[in-house]
Amino acid sequence: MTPPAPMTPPAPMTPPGPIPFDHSLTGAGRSPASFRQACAMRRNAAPAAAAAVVLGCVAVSGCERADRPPDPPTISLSASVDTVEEAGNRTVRVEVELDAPAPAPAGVTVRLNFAGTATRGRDYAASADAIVVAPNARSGGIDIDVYRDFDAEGDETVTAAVARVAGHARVDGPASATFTILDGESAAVDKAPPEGGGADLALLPIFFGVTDEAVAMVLAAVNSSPGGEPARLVAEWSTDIAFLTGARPLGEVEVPASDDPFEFLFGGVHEFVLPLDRLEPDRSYFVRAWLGEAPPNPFAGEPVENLFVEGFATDAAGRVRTRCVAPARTPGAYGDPLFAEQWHLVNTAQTAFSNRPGTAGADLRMGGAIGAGHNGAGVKLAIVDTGLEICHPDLAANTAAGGSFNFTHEATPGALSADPFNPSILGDHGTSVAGVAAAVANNGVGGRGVAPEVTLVGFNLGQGADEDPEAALFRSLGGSDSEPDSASVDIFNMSFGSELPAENPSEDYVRLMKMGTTDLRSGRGALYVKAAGNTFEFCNRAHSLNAEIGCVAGNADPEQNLPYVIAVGAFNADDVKSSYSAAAANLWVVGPGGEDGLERPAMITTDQAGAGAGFGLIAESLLPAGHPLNRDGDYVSAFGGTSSASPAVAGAVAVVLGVNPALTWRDVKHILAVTARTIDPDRAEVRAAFNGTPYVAQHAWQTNAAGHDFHNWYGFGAVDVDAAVALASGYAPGSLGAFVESPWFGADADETLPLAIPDADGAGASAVLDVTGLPESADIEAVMLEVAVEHTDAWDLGITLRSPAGTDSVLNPPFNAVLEGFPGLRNWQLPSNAFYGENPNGAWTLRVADLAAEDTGRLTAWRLRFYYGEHP
Amino acid sequence: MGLLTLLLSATAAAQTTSDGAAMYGAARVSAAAGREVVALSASRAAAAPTQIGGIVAQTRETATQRIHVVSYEGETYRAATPLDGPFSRIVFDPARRTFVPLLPSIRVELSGDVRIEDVAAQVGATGVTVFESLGFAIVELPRDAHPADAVARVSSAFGGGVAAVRLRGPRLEWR
Repeated sequence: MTPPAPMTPPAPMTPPGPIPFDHSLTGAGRSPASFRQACAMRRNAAPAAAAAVVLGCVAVSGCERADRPPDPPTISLSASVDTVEEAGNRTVRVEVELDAPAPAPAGVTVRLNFAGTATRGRDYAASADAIVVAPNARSGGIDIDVYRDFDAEGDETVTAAVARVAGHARVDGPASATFTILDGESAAVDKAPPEGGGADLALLPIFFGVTDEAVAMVLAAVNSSPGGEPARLVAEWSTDIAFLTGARPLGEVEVPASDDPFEFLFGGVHEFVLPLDRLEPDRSYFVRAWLGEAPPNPFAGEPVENLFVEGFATDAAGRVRTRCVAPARTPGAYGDPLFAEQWHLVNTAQTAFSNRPGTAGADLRMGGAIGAGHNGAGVKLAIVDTGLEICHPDLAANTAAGGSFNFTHEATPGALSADPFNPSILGDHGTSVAGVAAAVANNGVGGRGVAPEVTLVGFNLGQGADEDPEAALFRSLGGSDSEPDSASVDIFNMSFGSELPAENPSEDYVRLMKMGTTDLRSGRGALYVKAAGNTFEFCNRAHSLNAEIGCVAGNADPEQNLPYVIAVGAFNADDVKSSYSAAAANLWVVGPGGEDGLERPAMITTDQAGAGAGFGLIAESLLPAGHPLNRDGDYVSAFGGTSSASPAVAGAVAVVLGVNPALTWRDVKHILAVTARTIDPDRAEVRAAFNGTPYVAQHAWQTNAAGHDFHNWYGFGAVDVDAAVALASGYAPGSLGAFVESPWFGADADETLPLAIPDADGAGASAVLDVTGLPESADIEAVMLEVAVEHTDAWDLGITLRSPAGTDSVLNPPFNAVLEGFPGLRNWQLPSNAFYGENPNGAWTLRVADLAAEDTGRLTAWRLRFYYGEHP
Repeated sequence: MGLLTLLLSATAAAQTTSDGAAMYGAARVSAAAGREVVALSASRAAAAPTQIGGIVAQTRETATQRIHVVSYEGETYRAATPLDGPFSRIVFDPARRTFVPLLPSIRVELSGDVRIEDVAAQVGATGVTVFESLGFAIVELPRDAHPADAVARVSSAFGGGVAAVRLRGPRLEWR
């Protein structure tokens, strides 16, 4: 018998090395049976296997105890995606899952290490350092917030690996999870002005009109850069709008190259005249002027520059038509033939003479008002615009006899003071604006306005060099009770504006608005409804974010940065912001404006009457003159812009006032706000990281502390006429309490100012202002920020205000194109409506961030003013 | 609330012919928007540089243009205007570091102490628009009167703060 070989003593087990152990998380609730099993496994495991156990068996030190727990559940780590687009501002979920045999009754905490080529805190943020699996749960997770930035860094990886486990569990699957961040767009902004001398030559229209002897066209040919090429300025006239036949010279001048780099050039004005004695009766004439050798072709479908085209018509006596002559029309049947296509009134997913249908329900929600006959009767609406065709077949019945006014009548032969007729035959903006609000209903022709029984007046604003548009504005907006009588107007529609970087409204304009909202309508206040602007896509020096937050913000027009004005943006037939509609915190609501009218629905409204005049002459349209629904050419289906959203809202206001004429201007604003529809509800916030710090350039819809939803694209939302009428009908006028304009709450003694603003850094500079002493019953109606920033390029700046209740509002979005190259902000006043209904007392936080490299600056001063309702 | 438009006689208009402040170079003047601006010379004669506070302004003419050069806080700003017409009279706004054309009228604050008719006569106004509800009037000037000169006349006769030049705003855009 072979003696047995001597027993080889078993090799000693390799010590498992340091074992992370969290005493605070062991013991309690652990099953003795599973504990024993785990320790047995550990003893018997080969070294390689033991390493795995190390991660899972946290109670090693307890293995010597007799009461061993049962087998722990195994855990595995996973990421919700393998790859993620950086530009999407995505959140990636990293999860721990527990599997058999049973969930841990005491819960498990898995601490993580983060590795990979991406940098935590710069490329992403993790919501926690550990994943906690709740007692008896099978999974838990954390969120990895992937930062969108504009750095050219290539694709990067994020690896979350198990560092240690606390609790009754072990790793038996993947101990790490990795995903890849696909690099997004880089945005190295070139701030240098574009090169090329010819680009600075511009043709600016100054005046087009009729004098005693001629039709005059005044243009400025501006060459403000040195070293450019001289150019020809050529003017012609013809009876053919395309100038294919019969073009005759009107004049030609040589525009010299500038040899001196003037920053400001006010000259270069050239006048071309067409003598009246060369005109024949009953004809249409066109004039054009262009810079360059050959005239640009405006009908090629491409935008053209430095071309001016206008047109006019003569009457039977050969005089230029300067007054409205009612066209002969055969009365139609009852109804409004175009109503079925007016999506903004009742959207049935009709195409509205475009190539695509809209979305049913994307409208003013006014089927009830139409059915009930709430048509704005007894309310006076002024269209302050280019003119108003008071004899238009679909407007005449609503126009107030003698109520309109022509500011150019004294200088225009044949014109009448009460007839703001526009001699141009290439479309009258004011006439089309008027139709949106006030086209007559049920007269057998055309469509209908939002308020088809409103009393309509029109005031034109001449803009000739010898005219005074500011004085005309004061006279048109309530400052006059004769020539024109604007003091008797209830609602002013203002489908115009101008961009003035970092300017405030003049003191006289503020005085006008205060007077109008205080004194007019027998003290109830007139309503000023204003188009917010069409500049969302007007970028020159564009940053990638501009596509989402817009180019020129709606705050660029100082005259709508006041609480007395209802600033109106536009939505389209799919219930989304119109592509052009400017965004800002000064928006109150949005109205229908549509899109281009060819690919997607625009607005169907009145055009200059007759086939020989109107936008129909120059705009491609699927509703041309001669169409069965537009036989006489009195309508246009391609009108748009916030110019049409504004009168839609003005019409809605007329309907509301028609239901309850005792409402104050603030009551109406309130009713519009609280009844507005939230559209595009899933619109995500726009956020990106700058120098590793996320910055929100535009918030998603936010519900403020008073329960009001607000978005810089939409204000309080899309006007809902039926809901507004329902609220207005039982509304107690004046229930908002006294209107109070607070003093400025300033930081005069703020020793923290000036504050340096870190360059190209989302962190920005923050300052806090404590507001105390205002009534606890005060409900904010608007907040006005006044801010001063010394900076070498204000385009870089984003400005956000946080209320004591935690509501954030972007008052100036970064990369606001109107501030391009602008040297700082000098006490710029910026309103926000996002805090509506909140109480003003408490700590307000201002954050000013510089989000582009190179230029720098500092916050030097800021203060706040509150407009609020004070309840007794 | 009343709007009163007074069309004054051509005789009165003819009484004001001076280019006033422009004859002796630039002059500081109040603008209706509440700004302090510097009215630049609109004289036919070349003027020596004028220093107003930290602003040095000089104007010269070519055959077709009037050229203004303003130095302020280490920067130089240049503008060219026509010799005549609505855009021939400009101011420099130091707060905004920009040039702005003047409207051919002045703004007069209404108060019980000053009769608007007296102001109109003082400047040889061609018209007056009174915005009673707004508390001011716009006084239109003869074509050859410089608004800065008119403001100086009103200030001399009725005290400072009564009148201000009016700046031409940007063109409105139809939206």
